[in-house]
Amino acid sequence: MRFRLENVSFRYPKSPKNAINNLSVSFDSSSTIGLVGENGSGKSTLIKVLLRQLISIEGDYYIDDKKVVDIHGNMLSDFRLGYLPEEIFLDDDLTGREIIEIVGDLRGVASEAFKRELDFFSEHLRIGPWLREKKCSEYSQGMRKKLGLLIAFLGDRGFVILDEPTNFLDVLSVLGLKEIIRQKIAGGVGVLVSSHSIDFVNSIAEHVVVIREGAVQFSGTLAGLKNHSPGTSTVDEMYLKLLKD
Amino acid sequence: MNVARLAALILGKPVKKDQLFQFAAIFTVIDFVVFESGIFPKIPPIPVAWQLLVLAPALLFVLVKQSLSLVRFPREPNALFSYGVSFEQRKACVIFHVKQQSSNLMLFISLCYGLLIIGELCFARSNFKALSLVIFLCGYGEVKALEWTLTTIVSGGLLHPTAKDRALRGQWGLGNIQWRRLSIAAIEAVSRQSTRFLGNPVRAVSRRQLLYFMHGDLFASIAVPLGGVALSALACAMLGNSRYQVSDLINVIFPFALLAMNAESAMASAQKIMRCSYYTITKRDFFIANAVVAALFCLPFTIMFLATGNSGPVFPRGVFRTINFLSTQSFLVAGAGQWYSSMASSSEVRFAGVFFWGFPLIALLGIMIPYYGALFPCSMLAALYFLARGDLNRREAL
Repeated sequence: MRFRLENVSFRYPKSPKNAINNLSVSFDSSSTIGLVGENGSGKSTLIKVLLRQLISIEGDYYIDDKKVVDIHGNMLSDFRLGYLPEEIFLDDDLTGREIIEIVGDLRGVASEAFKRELDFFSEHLRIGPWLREKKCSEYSQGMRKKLGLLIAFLGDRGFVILDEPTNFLDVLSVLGLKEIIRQKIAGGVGVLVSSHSIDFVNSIAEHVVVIREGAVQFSGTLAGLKNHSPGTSTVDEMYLKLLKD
Repeated sequence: MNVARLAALILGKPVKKDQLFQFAAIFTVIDFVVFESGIFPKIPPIPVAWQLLVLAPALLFVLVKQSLSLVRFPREPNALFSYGVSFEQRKACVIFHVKQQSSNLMLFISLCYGLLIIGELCFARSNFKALSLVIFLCGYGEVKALEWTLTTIVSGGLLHPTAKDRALRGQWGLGNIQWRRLSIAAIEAVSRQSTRFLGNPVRAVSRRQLLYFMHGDLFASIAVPLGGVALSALACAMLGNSRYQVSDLINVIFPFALLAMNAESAMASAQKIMRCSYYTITKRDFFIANAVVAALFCLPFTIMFLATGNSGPVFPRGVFRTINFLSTQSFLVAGAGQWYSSMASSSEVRFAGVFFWGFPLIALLGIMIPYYGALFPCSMLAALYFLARGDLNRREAL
């Protein structure tokens, strides 16, 4: 599956300027993409456009050469997408375990596979008995993020979009998340990670998209990024040059 | 602030005695004329005393629901939450309110009964039986028993402060952990078992809705159906074949009341589902899932009706009665399914609400007037077809 945006612009109501501005980018759902940019650069807006949560856009958006405006139905289920929003809205009256059982049922996950996934995530994200014993309204931010990650990856997802996945996670869970993403990529799942953490993005992404003021500043591999930023020696310097110049 | 004043502020001012007398007079006169006077010969005579026996606990169950939703914090913060009325204050208000309402209800029943005796002695002396006094005492006993149960539950240790209450008092513990584990495990098991027979995605959504109702209002979700079924069984045992309309009424009114009481929660639930992007469901599946949940709430009463079968499928009255009852339940289920799923616009909600409230009321007439009863299920089934047809074709995402 290939996502392609051509000269896409979007402006939030009552905002004086475009959140994303004449943005063109394309990537394959089998790759691992890192989305980098400063606060307010348009990363989350781009993700919402990709998921068709924002529809009144200017420009063209294609999935596999088919215009998205002609596609009906639910993006997440029809294209087997997983999504972790920056601030996840949880079904607060239910326990986390109940939510993932329902989501698993909706995605047609068999009970054995469900158990396997749950054990895998519990081990790497250090998910404890709270998942079953507490309602989501009582979860800490870290717990909410862990549950959100579990929901995003649960089932046979082809491509998973993670918006700031490391926020609120403890160090051990961040390491666990890296391992989860690596194993999922090895299993053929594509991942798009939007993050402020350059180290995190560099450790998992093979394709980097740098956004500045709603436009793509750079899109390519890490090696390409090095060529694009002559005179820099470290990855941090490369990003700094891109985002400041 | 004293409890009476706080209760009046939160729950509204109590009904005045003269208003109570007016209600009792209107109710007794209309009921007496319709069911006991013999003016309408085709309407079967159902003594007003029996109707009071059914009406009293039905009103008290509304009180149960209202009281329990007050003791436990609502899901969404409301004025009470903002004013910071404590758990203990709310408990005191509820106990005061229950006692006040049950004493009002007793007065209402006594006034009705008094007026009924006058009516029977003056206009229908043959209807005047000592059994009415026994029924009156049973009604009195019902109200007192429920009042005692409710005040004992509220004042005793069975209800725990919610997480929000503990947070307000700066207590961040988990409360009674064993009880929490047990109730969560029980809710999980009940929701899983009761939706097992369904296929996906309806199973998943129905289960989610059941979990939402039970987590929010476990006691009412269980007490209302069980109480209604017990009352229906009691009415069947006491009345036998002769007054089947009374048990039919219970079997329609209780699920109807239960579904109506849950409507607000259901609509809040629908809003929540819409915001949870990981619940990928269509409008059609959501409608079916809500109808399934409504059917599960109605199921004990349908089983009660079919199990007692006290009139039997005797043609034509028994057949009409069965068709009438089942079509009423079907309409309740479809109407609740649509009402619970309606969220797009206020006009849609109103439209679904009118159907939900209107047709079961017409169906009740079908139960009360057996000779003409066949008209009601036929009209309802036709309406049901038109109502459900539109919803079953809504394949767009929620």
